[in-house]
Amino acid sequence: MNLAIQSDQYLKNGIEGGLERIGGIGYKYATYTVKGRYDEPFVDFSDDELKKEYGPIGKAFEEKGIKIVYNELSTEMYVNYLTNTNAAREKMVIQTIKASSFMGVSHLLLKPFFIIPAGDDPVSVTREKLYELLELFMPVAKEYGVKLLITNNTFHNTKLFFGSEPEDLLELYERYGVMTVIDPVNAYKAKWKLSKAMMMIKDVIYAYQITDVEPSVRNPFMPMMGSIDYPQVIRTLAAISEERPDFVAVMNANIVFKRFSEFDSDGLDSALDNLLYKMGRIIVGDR
Amino acid sequence: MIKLGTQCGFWGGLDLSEAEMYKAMSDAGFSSIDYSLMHWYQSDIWKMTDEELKNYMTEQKNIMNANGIFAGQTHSPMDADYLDHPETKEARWHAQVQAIKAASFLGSPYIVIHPLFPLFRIHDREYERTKEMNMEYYNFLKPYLEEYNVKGAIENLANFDFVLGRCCEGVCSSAKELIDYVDTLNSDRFVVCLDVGHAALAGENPVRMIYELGKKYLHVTHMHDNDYIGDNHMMAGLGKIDWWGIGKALNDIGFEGIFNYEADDSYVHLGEYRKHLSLDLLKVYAQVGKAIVSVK
Repeated sequence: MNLAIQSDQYLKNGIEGGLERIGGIGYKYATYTVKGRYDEPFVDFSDDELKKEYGPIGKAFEEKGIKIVYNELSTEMYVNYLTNTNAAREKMVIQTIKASSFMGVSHLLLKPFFIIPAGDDPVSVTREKLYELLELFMPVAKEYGVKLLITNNTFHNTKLFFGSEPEDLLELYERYGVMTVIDPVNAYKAKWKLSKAMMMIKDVIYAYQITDVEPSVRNPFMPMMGSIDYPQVIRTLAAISEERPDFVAVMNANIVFKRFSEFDSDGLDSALDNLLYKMGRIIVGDR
Repeated sequence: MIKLGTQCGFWGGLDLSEAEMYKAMSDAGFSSIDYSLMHWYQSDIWKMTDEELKNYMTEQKNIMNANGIFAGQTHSPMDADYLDHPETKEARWHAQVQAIKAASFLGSPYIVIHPLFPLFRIHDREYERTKEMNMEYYNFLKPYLEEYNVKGAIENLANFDFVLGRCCEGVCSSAKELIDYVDTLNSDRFVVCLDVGHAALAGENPVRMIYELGKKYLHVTHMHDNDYIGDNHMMAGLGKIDWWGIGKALNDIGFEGIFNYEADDSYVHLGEYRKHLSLDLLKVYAQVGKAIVSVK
């Protein structure tokens, strides 16, 4: 099993230094968030412009010996969602698929869209909308050689959303070949028996996001210090990765560093780096 | 300058000697330990003679000091309450005296002594009756605090309202009540320990309490985070308490004591992985503490 790190917090002051730090800690795998906003030209970049902008980023990772296991969509695409249109968000996804291809990244994780569950049968409504979106994105993804991933979702703290249940994720794989990245916080909100659910859908899980949940405070939470049964999760991940040695666990560093962003201390970053790396190594079975 | 201190809950499950534990603390950035005498009522230490106790605590002090740590504060046994078992009053109160001696032999200038905490002291009820009990209690301890040159720090607590289903005001929950107790005792032997987690649970604003108490009354701290619902005793930053505000308030009042973590539950949550992760988590605690006390 491989251990990856979300790279965003490390790269915010520059790619070179960020990748030095990631490599220096010991990570060989990472995820990357493709940044862009509606008011930036990213949405209207041509393929050549995308290649020029994002190709060097992929190369920088490669030169440092760090493989990007998947890209993520920028959460900035959800800012001002009431004023920005679905069309603009859809275009953003398509541009991100292309950017991923030019970076040499094989997978892109789709985040939940603002598909509002409504009506008497919200699960069906959200299923149909998600199918519609995937049918829009899949041809582009195929053309550019990128595979799409999805996380298990909830709508706020309810399950009124297609993609909340393990069966939904099996259906998405069977219909579209879309694999799942497990979000244990959403699994907790949807009241999964996490390990049992993961074993049930193990053949369609691409990765596991290392995070935790503490219901009465801000979610998510410091890994291994919340309500998720990590000893059981670790056993489950070990069982999954026995058949799939390329399986990857991704340390959700974004949440941790954002949680501690109000604290300004020279040594805090490296103390957190060490702690998270050790936690990650335990989770992938390497103590 | 505000120093950093902690309990030693990170030690659980680690194969470290006492000396190695103290060294780990000082390497991480701590200078003080909150030496717990909380469960002494149950232990053999309570039965030691003064000479045995002095020898034992002096040895502890020497190990600490040799590894860059001093005992900035201690915590007396929590079970001084005798109301349900009045026949145990004398024994329980003498355990407190034993703890005061121990604190003194350890070189600790402060010992946190919980007020007596009858459950009928809830919200604004039974203030005077509870105060009378506590004046008797603290006045009983005063001569020992004087003899052994230790200051007793009265800690704010919270109660639980079973009808409302949440924590609420209890004994000494407010700055006003703490100040009233210290002023009524009228002795330099008594100061305040502000527990910011308890303040949050009792519905108080811990930042405001720091300003209300000021440098005159606030000498000792218990720092831990929570969700304003449970007494979680988590590391700072994991809950909802305003740590930037806490740091600024401490510096604004000119506090020169110890930012002392009473936050061992975060280590406990690591479970079976504690032995692999505690020392790294300890360093995070220290860096977070350092950031908080630097806020001006």
